Amino acid sequence: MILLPHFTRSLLTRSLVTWLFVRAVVTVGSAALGVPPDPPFSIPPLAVVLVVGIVAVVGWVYARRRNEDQFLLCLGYGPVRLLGMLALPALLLELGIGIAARL
Amino acid sequence: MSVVLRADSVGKAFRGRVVLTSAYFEAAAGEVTALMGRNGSGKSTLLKIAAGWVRPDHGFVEFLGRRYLRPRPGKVAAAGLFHLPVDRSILSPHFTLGEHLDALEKRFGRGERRALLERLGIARVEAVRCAALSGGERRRAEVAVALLRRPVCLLADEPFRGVDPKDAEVVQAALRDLAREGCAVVLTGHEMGWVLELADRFVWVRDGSTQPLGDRGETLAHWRFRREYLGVRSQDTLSRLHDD
Repeated sequence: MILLPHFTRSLLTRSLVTWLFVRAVVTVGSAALGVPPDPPFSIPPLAVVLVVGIVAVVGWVYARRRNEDQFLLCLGYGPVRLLGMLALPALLLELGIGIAARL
Repeated sequence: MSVVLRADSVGKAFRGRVVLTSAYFEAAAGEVTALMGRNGSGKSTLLKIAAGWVRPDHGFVEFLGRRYLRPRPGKVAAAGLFHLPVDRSILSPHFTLGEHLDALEKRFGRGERRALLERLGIARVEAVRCAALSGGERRRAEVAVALLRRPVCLLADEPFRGVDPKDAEVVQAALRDLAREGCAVVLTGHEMGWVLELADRFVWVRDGSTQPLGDRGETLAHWRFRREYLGVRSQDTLSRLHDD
């Protein structure tokens, strides 16, 4: 985990917003194709991997554009940890939704 | 003085353009080493390879006695290597200098932040977003981050770039003090006056390889270095500076 004042909040917020957007696109896209998720909000495991991957990559591109990756690297946080940090909220939310859907 | 960082037999080509063939340099604790060379000679690439930011085609890097074919940048940074690049800022334009320093202190512990910022003349811009800093202020802010980190080894790529003479003096003194405290400092730069005064040892990067030049006096006495790097006009000026 990257636990730093200001930076952690920024990374997590961006990750969360990206996840919401990607999730909304997937849900709307499924409905538009005539295959609404059943149970609601659940998507196939492959789609979950895709969503988490997109969130991590988009977050990484933003971090790079904002030079956050350079600063974090100077602090000893390499690209793998940064990607992990960016993917974490999406992964936890997808797990949460998956568990809730099974209940 | 003990060697902290060593890059040996390093080679690198970018899309067929060979930048380094067999470069070598080492950095000792308490010493300032200057990599000199013309634009495009591979100085920055060599520093990036040493910091793990670029993968070498061959060769290895040794940091704190451990040998790496390709050092992982996060790992060596956590162990005490700090790389100050020249082509990208290490500061995010969306955060203030103070916010960067908050993060740094949370990670590595508190330092004498206020005194350092006062000394570098950037205390008044601590709460300003880095996007609003001038080129010289940003460079000094980056140096402040590097100094507050108290690294074992600092790789500073052109630390005097864009800094006015008065502030360059401050940066020079700060880097000298860092070396006195035991840090191995490696720097590049074309500001010969500042670099010559600061560095203890000089290495010439040319034709993809490196050549140790020795200390200040030996460097200025090296006829080929004088002819091929310094050029005709600057030689007399620098010789006078050295004599003074």
